[in-house]
Amino acid sequence: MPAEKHIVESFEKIAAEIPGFIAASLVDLESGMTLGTKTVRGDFDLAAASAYNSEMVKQKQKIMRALSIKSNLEDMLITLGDQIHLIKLVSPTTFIYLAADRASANMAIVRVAVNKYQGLFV
Amino acid sequence: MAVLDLDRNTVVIRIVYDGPPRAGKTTSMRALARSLGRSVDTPEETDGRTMFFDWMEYTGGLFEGHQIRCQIVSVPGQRDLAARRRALLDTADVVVFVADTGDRASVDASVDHVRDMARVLRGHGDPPVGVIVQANKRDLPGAVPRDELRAALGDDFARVALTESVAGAGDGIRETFVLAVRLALDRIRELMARGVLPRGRPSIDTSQELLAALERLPTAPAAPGDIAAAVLSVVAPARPRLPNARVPSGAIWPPVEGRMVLHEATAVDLSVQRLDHGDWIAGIGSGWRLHSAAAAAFAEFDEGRQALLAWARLHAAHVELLSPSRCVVLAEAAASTWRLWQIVKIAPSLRAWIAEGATLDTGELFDRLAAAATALAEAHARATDSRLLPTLDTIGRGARGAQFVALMPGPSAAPPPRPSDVGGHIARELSRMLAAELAERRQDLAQRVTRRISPTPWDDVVAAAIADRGPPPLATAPISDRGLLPPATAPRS
Repeated sequence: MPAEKHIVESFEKIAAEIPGFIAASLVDLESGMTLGTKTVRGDFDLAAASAYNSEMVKQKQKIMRALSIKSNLEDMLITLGDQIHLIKLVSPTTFIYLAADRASANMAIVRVAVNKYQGLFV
Repeated sequence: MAVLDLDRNTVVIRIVYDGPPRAGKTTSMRALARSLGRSVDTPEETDGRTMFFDWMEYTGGLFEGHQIRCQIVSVPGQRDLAARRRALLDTADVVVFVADTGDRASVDASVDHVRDMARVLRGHGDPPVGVIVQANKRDLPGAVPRDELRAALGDDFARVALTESVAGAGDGIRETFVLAVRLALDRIRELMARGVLPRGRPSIDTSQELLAALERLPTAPAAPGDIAAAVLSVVAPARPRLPNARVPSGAIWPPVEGRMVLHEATAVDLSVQRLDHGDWIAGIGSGWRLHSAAAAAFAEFDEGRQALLAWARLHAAHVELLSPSRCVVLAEAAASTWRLWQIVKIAPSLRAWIAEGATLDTGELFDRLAAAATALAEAHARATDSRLLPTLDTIGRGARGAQFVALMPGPSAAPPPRPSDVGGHIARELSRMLAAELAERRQDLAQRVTRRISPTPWDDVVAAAIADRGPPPLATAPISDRGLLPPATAPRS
């Protein structure tokens, strides 16, 4: 598990490459607790968003098991009216949750940036 | 102390930071507070040392759809505050042991401390409380290498999680905390699976409540008894509210008479007390006995009502033997918590009735013993459920003959072994009483036996008890399939 300081530094690198970056967190899948966060918007409740998204990941994994899908869950892409959310699993127990402004970024930019630095979160 | 607080949709866990003095417990908590955007409440410090605890709350994450509310507490490390430390450890769902690993001597001190902690936690039983050893002060030049640290901890701690930190810089603090939450959730999951995770509000909900509890503890190195009492006082759950006239319909049995019993029993102010094993009692000195078992608490009314129905069926099946003034009530004990109470009007047991006659004339006392034996035998014959074991303490004399005057054992109670030799059982009951409360009368009674001219069917049993020569032969106390048949009355020679 990387230190919080390194997590925050890594998110700063990602934020620098994503126009419209809003917030990101490294989340413990089991508990939904955040291990490190970076946000540029004070009104974005990153702790709550991370917790509820951990439930979503667990539900998706449950669905895969129910369907006997043997493959791994790599990421989840969510498009809102004005935001893009990316959930990227970086280890069996942690995932990155990232939100960006849809007017400034697109899914490709977000995925490229996160994939580039995902090794820093393991 | 994990609690499922359905009222606030949270699962409450307590993470306790333990460790020797100046190992970095408070520094770790303050670093965690900075990281989580919270503040630490420290009720009292002397020369930078924690006298009671550091307290921080953090709500985050989700467990089975419930928010996780963490009560994060550090203990005072000084030896003379051991009672406070132990009381806090006893409420932990997980312990983060902050070890000073800056040099070899500090490691040795930490190892002594961690063994002491393990002894306290051993009493927590199953599932065990998770422990993380947070090796602190890793930035010091003499810091003991990780492998040596593992070796120093020994085999007993081989499976304990070990993390590294520099608390002053905030390094390693948050990941240790998240790991601690995970371990606590593992324990809660197991408690849930076993159906023993308590529900309701936590008994200690704020730092002020915890301070008040700890202020009651002795500050000097505590004797084992003091510590046990201290721990009990800290973990004691909130007093439940007693049933009252506002109990809804459908929550009381029997429906009409039960409400009258309830009205009468609760007409005076009653104080509630918690017994060592967790049951609640009330009514001492009032002529009523109110009792609620530790496990008789329910988060949902319907769940409690199912239990009430089981109790009602049990009572209905034995109504002929039970003393009349009693009822079972499901009442709101706290917010979103229902508790099942059994209310019984106190009636004298056979033991009390015999003891009351201890100064009677020898003949009258013998008659009383024989009448008690008769009542016990009658109760044995009528007690179709072996849960209602007739003894001198559970049986009394009512208008309809022998009656069960004690609290009714619950539907899930394991029945005590039913005596195969009822005559012998009664003789032993009386013999024990003759050896204790009636020891001074035993000699008189022994002489009286030989001169008895109008014996009752149970004289032989009483005579055996007085002589303490074991049960009478079966011929004088035959046992039918359903109980004991009285021996034939015959004049004594």
